[in-house]
Amino acid sequence: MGIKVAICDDEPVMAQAIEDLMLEYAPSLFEIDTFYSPSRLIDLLEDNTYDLFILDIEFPNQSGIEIAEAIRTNNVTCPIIFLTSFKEYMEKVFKVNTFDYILKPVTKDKLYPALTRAIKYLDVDDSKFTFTFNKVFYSLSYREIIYFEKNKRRVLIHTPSGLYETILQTKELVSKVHDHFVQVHTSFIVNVRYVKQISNDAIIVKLNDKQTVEIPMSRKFKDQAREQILMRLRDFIS
Amino acid sequence: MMDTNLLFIAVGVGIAIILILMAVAILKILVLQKRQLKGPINIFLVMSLISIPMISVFMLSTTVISGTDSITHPKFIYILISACIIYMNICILYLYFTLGRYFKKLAETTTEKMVFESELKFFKQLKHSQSKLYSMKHDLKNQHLVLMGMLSEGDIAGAEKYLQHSIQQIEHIDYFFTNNYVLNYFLNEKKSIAESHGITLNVTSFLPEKVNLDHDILAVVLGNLIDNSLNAALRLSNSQEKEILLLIKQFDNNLLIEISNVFDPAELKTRKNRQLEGIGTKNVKRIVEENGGIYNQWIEDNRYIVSILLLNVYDGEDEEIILGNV
Repeated sequence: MGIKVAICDDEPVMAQAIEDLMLEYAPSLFEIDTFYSPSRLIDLLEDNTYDLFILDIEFPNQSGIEIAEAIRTNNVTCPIIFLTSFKEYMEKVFKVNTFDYILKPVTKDKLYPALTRAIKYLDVDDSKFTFTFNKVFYSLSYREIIYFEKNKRRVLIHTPSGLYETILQTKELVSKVHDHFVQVHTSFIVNVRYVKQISNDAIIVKLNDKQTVEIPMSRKFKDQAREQILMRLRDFIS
Repeated sequence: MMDTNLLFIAVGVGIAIILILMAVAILKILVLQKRQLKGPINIFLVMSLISIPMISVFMLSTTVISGTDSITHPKFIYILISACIIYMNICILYLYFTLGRYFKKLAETTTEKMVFESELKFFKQLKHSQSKLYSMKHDLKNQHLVLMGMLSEGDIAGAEKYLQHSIQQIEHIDYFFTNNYVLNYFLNEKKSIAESHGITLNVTSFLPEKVNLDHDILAVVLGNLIDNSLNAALRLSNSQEKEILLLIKQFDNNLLIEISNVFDPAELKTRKNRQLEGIGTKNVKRIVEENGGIYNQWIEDNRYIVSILLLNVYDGEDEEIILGNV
């Protein structure tokens, strides 16, 4: 599966250089669209979206931040990487939840680590959790699963779009899940992506933009779970 | 009859003295307040301060009188003395609390002062870099002229070299790490300390001005981490490895602080206890966990890495709501 990327820079040379670097990084991974003006990209965003954005921040009349704001109205999570000539950044870049901030000139050393992280964050393999329930076969991508809850024999699968269930033993479930999942309790396995807060005996996860849910964390799993959460989230940030 | 009178006179005079002294003290405070326009003085505090020595003197005199066995009501004296002692203890307790409050306030003010001082230094630095910027702007014109000259003569390699040199120069003047200027100042200080010891402190930072954490938390955490790494790097014999990498980055409401340095693996044995008992590390871990964060340290090759994740730190959204209401 390709990653749809939008590059926006008013200097064609710069945009081309980034595209070349990306193709060198992985020749067939990216589907790249290049834009030379923010307004064209913003117009297109109304009924189109991309998985990853690489945006220049300084344009003659507009700012890359405006593009990012337009992106965020529909897409809250996709990574945005800004390119800039200034080390000093505007405070606004944090409001649009910037994934990374690359200082020009763009080189392999600066771009590739950011790409590697973005690919990890996007979970490009898009591995699926497959299960059957009432003789119906289901396939959910791991990204969508917020947490698994074990209730006697049943496994409840919480996702932003709804609740699914299946029958599985905890052991089987633990060995089956993706490494972004962390067991925090005998009956709970959580996707680190959705972790919002941690306390001594509980974990708060985001259900959506507004709602959260508190999941108990037991002493048995606490230390290991905390370490795993740190190491996984670290992969996205550093 | 004479003895009882004597006692009453003694008690009466004692109480009168106390009352008069208190009145004088209060009057004096009021007058002083008017004259010198000092901050409000706590009358209770002054009363408890004055009454302790007075009551003890009074108790002493009462005890002396009772010792002359001319007393007809010894029980009354005991009750009086116990009442005085209880009263004094209450006063001392009150003083204790007042002092506690005072010291707490003092500590807060000291931290605030430090913050303001660092802000002031930051602005001075800003002024300095601004004036540098002006001179650079001036130089730029000359540089362009030099470049034009080189290009017109077809000396492209020379021009490239010249440009590279000037880019390097620009990157060298680097004071900026974050819009959070207290932290910015702090990082600059640490960087210059490291450099003065021949250690490179490489800072990669990307964090907003306002995070949901107190200045002192960041300062204590970062201060301890950097100092530990500096000390470890100082103990190294190979000067090429004296580099500390520090990453402070925010994404998705989470803040990652990671510091790593090359260390001497032999220290695992020689400094075993220090590693376990290091007060700095313990403090950092405690503070991180108290603030709902996660602390982890490990060794990779011969690098010692400490990674800290603080969750839910960005408060930019709240700010927007407030602005929206205004």
